[in-house]
Amino acid sequence: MKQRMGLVFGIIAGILLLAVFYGAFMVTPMIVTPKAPDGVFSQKMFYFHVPIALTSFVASAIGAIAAILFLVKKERKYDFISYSSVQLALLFGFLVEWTGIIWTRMEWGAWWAWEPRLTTYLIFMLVYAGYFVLRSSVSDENARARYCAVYAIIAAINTPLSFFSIRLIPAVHPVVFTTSGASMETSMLVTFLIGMAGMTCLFISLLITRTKTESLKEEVDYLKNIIGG
Amino acid sequence: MEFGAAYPFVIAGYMGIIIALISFVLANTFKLSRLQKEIDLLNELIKRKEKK
Repeated sequence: MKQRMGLVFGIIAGILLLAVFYGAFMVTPMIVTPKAPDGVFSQKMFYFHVPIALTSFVASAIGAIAAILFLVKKERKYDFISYSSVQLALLFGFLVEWTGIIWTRMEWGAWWAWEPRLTTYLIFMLVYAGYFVLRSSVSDENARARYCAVYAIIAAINTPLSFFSIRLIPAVHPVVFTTSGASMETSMLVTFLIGMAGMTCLFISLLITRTKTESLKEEVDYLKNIIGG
Repeated sequence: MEFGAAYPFVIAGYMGIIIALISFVLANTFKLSRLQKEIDLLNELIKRKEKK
């Protein structure tokens, strides 16, 4: 049943993300500035870059919530959810960095700038990379799950810092969504929202698949122990 | 950056996303299928052991 749900969310995500491709290149207008009379083509990265970034924050939050639930309820499934969510936070994080450095190169003329958003997001990724070092270095299953749960909670503290960094500290990173609303045309906003829905569905689909994989791994170990004993 | 110059960068960005996501989905699907087969095999082995 869960696997089927994963497939359903995966298919919905595929359809929505194809719609974003269409919307980004065929529907949304090209932004024209005095410096770029032909249009700012780099802006087309926005429709994937921002939804992926927001999904990575959601993945980080779910990783922390599942970790808290594991520490409270001591049920292995929450450890699997937390672990899978952290994996996805890192995967989406890499994609954010990938699309981000390409956009930075196009717009700022450099691959990297030490400004608040980029720096806090790099820390976000490095902290989550550390999670896997911790996970692979503890052999006892229960201790590993406990330590990783605590780490996932601490790691998530950086998420609001990264999210609010460009709103609180003067930065060169663009801010599209402010308290006064989104500064873009309706077609652009609709494409962005479809992208957001698509990425969320993809995240749910991958989370279900990853969690299922982890529980199957445990079942394999259990069955091997029975045969071995 | 000019429109023509930005083109390869945007293509590279989108290709990166597509390749990474498809690879991750395929890797997980294959892993899930392998684990399921391994469980079936182990269950079969346990049944045979019990019969003996």
